[in-house]
Amino acid sequence: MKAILRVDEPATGSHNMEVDEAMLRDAEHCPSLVLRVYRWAQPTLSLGHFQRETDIPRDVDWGRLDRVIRKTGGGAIVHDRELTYSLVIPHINHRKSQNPSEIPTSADSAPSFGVKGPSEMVYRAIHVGLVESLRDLGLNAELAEQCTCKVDGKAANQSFLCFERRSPVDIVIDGVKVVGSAQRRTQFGLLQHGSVLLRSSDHANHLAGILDFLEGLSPKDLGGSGLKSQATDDSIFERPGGLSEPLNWERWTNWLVKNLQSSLENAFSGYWRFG
Amino acid sequence: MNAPLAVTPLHSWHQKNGGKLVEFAGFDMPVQYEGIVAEHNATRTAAGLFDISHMGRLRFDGPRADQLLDHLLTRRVTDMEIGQVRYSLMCNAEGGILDDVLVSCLESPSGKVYFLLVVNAGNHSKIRNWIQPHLADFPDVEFSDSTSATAMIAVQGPKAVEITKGLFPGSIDSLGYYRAKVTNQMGKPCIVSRTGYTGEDGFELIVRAEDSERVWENLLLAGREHGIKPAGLGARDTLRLEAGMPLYGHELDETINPYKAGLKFACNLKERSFIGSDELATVSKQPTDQVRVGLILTGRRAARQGAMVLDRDGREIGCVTSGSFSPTLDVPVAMAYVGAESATVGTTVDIDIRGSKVAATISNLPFYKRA
Amino acid sequence: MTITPEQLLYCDSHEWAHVAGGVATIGISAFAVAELTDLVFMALPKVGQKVKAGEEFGEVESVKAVSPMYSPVTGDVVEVNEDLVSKLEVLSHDPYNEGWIMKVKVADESELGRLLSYEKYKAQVGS
Repeated sequence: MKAILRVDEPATGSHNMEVDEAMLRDAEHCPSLVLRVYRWAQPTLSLGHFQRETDIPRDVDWGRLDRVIRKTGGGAIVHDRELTYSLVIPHINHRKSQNPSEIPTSADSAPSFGVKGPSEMVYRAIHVGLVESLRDLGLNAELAEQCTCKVDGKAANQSFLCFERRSPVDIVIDGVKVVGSAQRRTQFGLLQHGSVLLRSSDHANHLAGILDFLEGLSPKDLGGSGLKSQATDDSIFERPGGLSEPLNWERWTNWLVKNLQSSLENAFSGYWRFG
Repeated sequence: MNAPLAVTPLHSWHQKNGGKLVEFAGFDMPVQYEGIVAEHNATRTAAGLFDISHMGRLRFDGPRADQLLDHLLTRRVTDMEIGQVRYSLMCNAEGGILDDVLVSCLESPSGKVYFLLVVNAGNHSKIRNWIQPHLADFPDVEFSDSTSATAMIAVQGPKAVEITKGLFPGSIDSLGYYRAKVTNQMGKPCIVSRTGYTGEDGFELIVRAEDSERVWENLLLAGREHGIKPAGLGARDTLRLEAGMPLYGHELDETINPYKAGLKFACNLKERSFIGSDELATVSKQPTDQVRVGLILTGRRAARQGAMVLDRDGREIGCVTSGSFSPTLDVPVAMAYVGAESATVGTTVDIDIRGSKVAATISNLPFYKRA
Repeated sequence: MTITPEQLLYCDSHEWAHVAGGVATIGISAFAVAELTDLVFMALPKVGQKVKAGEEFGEVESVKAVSPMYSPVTGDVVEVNEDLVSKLEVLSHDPYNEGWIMKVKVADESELGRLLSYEKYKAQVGS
């Protein structure tokens, strides 16, 4: 089945959220996996699905940013010097009951998305691939071990900001979270959001991005996608420049796209393919 | 003078990550990291990750590779399909066990069919030497030893299947028990088989030496939230003992034939001729003088290899081959060969543990079977 | 009276319904609770709200995902287990009694025929 990649120009928060919501709605009728990588036209605060504006702490710089609410859960994110991706995978089993003729019959390749099942596999494939790729850059990347979601078996009061929390689906460098993810699982499909922090935001400078760790390291080839076999055409990649240099969005977008595509194509090998 | 110990491609990982290294079959291997019981229990309840690169990996290419192996092994090889794995024995002409092995029939991505033989580390050079003279009769068979160029990793436990989902193309969870395939772990070439030596579900992977640390780390990452632990040879031994699996040098050696070892299922004599088949045909018709049994001990002390098994009148009826405290059963268990006439399950015996008698009950094997 | 899972009807989206006297008590199955892991929030419906079979009536958030809950029946919400949000852990040990979510006055009992029996649901989740 076809997998679609779209890399969008920087846009407003409300536009970005509308596009993601439309992608999830379309999963009911569109049998394609859609991966979208995008940026934000100005620093924006996105609240988790159940967070309330009235709970935004006072006296924080980021509390005054433009804000939107995500369809996915978790804590608020200051979207600034980051790449964001949204991934929609339609729920094939649901579609089967409606229009059997559209569904390929190859039995063990049709993934279905229940309450959990393969939804967990999407996290795993993407995060293991990203950690491997970050380690190729010489970074001490890991999946977060602790979870701040519970205290004594009860839901805990967590930090308002996603990147101050920890869960098993976070990627950390030297213990600092640089990639956070969240999902929405509906009967039509799965929406996964991921934020990849590239540099610290002036509005939340206690958080750090991948480049903040890379600077000071010896030069590494940025080409290392987790999938060695595909890390060939990368002579154009070199280590992004020092602090004084502007962030090379194009290189990092290519890096992220390549990682996500190869992880997804690997995990769903023979089923979804990017054209 | 002792030769320097061999190391696996994961040796420096073990050193850096708290592995307690000991000599095993000429290799410097991790016996444990956190502790045998913790690693054992993690494998029973979640998953354990084992470096088993010390095992020998021998490859046979060529149209008559199956016939060569058929001549060497106690089970048929010529009827094996691509993707099939068989547990088998290699015997000498007297029917004594030279090694217990796994033979796999594999197809490379380029469409080449070949056979892979995984042998015990301690028997590796012996088996190579054993095979060598037979190669002359099969000049078109290309024999190669891939042991040092590759690493072998086992991921075992009830969460092993879940952990590997998303890390391999398609789904290796659709691989049947004792099936294998050539695939890749996120781009790194890999042979995966649904096999193991712990009594749990799981996989054994063969990867290139240079990729081994990445694959190992990726499995640890993927298994982290499920409680995967790196596990050493100590846990591997207690796990296989609970699962009633024989270990060469303990339950198996060249003086023991497959029938005595209770491995009749691993011998196929029907219309076959292989090294040892004549002798095994004779042995198969005779009652065995000794049989392999399980022993559940009283107290907390474990019996070790060589401890005598006595009947209630103090007569020697057998000898312990392996023994350990069983973390899952919370009692000491052992395997032993005892006289067939004394081997009734439920019989009470004594074990002489360094001069003191410890009561034990003869039990069925395995001690542990997964739900 | 204690409700046991065998007495219930299920949606394939893992909600259960127990119908007595024209009122359906609705919750989510033990399987769903176990699979969701670490529940952190639940958005409940309101009394008086109209719900439709197969459509969303609320949402549940776990540490990894937000998932809508789909109503097994059509009708008016007559009661909501408001306390549940502050003690989501009860869903882990008693999803069928203390863990009920809402009660709905069923508009059309013929719809119940579309729900799964315990055996069918059990077979579907493979446990």
